[in-house]
Amino acid sequence: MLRGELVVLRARLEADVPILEDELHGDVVGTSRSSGRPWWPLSPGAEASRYRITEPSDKEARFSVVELATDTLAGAAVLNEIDTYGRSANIGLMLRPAFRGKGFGTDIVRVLCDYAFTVLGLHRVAMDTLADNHAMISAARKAGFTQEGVLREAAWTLGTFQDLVQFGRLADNA
Amino acid sequence: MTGGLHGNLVRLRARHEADVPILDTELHGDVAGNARGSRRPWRPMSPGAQASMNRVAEPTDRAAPFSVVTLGDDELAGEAALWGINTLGRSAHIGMALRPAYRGKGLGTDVVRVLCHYGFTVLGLHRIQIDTLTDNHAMIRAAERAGFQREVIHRQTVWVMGEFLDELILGLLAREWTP
Amino acid sequence: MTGGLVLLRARIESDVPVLETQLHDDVAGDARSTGVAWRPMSPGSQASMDRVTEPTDRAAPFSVLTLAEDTLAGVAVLWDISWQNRSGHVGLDLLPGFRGNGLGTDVVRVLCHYGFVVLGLHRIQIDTLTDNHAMIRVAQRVGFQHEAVHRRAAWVMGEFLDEVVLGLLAREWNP
Repeated sequence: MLRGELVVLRARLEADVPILEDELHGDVVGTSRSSGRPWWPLSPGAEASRYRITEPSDKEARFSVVELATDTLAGAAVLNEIDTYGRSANIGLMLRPAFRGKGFGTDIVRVLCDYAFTVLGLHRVAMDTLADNHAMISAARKAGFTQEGVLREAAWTLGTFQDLVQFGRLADNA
Repeated sequence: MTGGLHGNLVRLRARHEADVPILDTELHGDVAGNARGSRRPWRPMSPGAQASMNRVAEPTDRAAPFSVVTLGDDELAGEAALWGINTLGRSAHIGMALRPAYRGKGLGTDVVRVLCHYGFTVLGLHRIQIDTLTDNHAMIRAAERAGFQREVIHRQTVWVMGEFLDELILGLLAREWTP
Repeated sequence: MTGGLVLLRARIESDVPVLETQLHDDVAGDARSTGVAWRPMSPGSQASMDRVTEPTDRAAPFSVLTLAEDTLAGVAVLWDISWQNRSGHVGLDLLPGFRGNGLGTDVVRVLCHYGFVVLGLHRIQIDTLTDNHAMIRVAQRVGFQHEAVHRRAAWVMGEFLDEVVLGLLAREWNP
């Protein structure tokens, strides 16, 4: 379990899955904006679910986010595209609607960086988001990320091609 | 033989078995060059290995691997691919490696143009990008000649022979492309 | 990959029978180097340590050739590669006719270049028997430090022998 100031990141539990699939995957707009894949109806227990329980892997670490104050499930976070040779990884996160706007995003990004740099010994962490996702952009900046550029019209999102802003943070000793 | 996609200097056709040992030897066998072009550690690879990036493979929706041959004498000049094809985002990446003897002759620019034609016209893509090291001036020049714009620098993201190097992302949109 | 005296390349099919005959069939030599009980093995066996395999992330097996004559001289491997700890182990076995010529030192240097520079490892280790003076001398020439003796750790032809561990860190390495 990884502890931040506002949230705890722990392994996925069976009880999390239906909540995350309903509130996060069930949000067609939010999922289309964050996943880079076409939204698709998913039956409970589907293999394709981003929120199902998986065995630990060297390529991806899936977490459930829990609010520290109330011990309530607040969302999902992932360190994925872990590359042990290039010593880099990518951050993704999505919060349940009731837990947005509370500064959890920044806390989650900080905790995932700490995991990546200290526990895994990585050299670089990246994240990207749509150019109009101000909450995510602010979380990245507050967590010490540098904006490295914009991929123009790289994400098909609900009928239009949107720009993707790319961020990177290097390990402190880099 | 004339099948495939034609540029001014090169033709892009499917991989043939006879290409594989040449590409494995001249491209994979160059450890430093391979480290610059690949995001995976170089490993010794025996002839015929399934792990060869250059082997003959069945077509997929995710990648279109080509062999590059010169138009005049029909000699194998290297390999090129449209990879990471994303049908939702209608985007893809260009990858390319020329045999040492075929570098510095303008073939790269021609290969990029032919792959853009394939991506934009044949596949109907909206966006094509090139990911390359910031010191790969030949590739950057070929990309900019074809109209690609510099978009992102991923700092220290590629491990190459003892150090982390920066990677430059260049992008071209279908409406900006002039064949 | 080339050193001053040797070339390290991927295994090819024609290497296999030579290696099996000259390395595996030497029962006493095999017992000293493999850590696995010697067993009779037919040509082409899947159990052969010297067969042609697909590349993996855990081990990089090479055939060693002399630069001068382009002749097969033995095997070399970076094995037990750990991406978490960024470490690997050197393994080396030369054909009888190629020992005592300084090839071993060159092979270890080339494997260190592969491990430290190409793969970005942090530490490389050599495990050998305490009476394998040739291997220990090679390791020390390249800069490996004596770190540990595993007492009576290897069963070799009727007795337990001591094993020595030598280690080299990337920052100590002089190419």
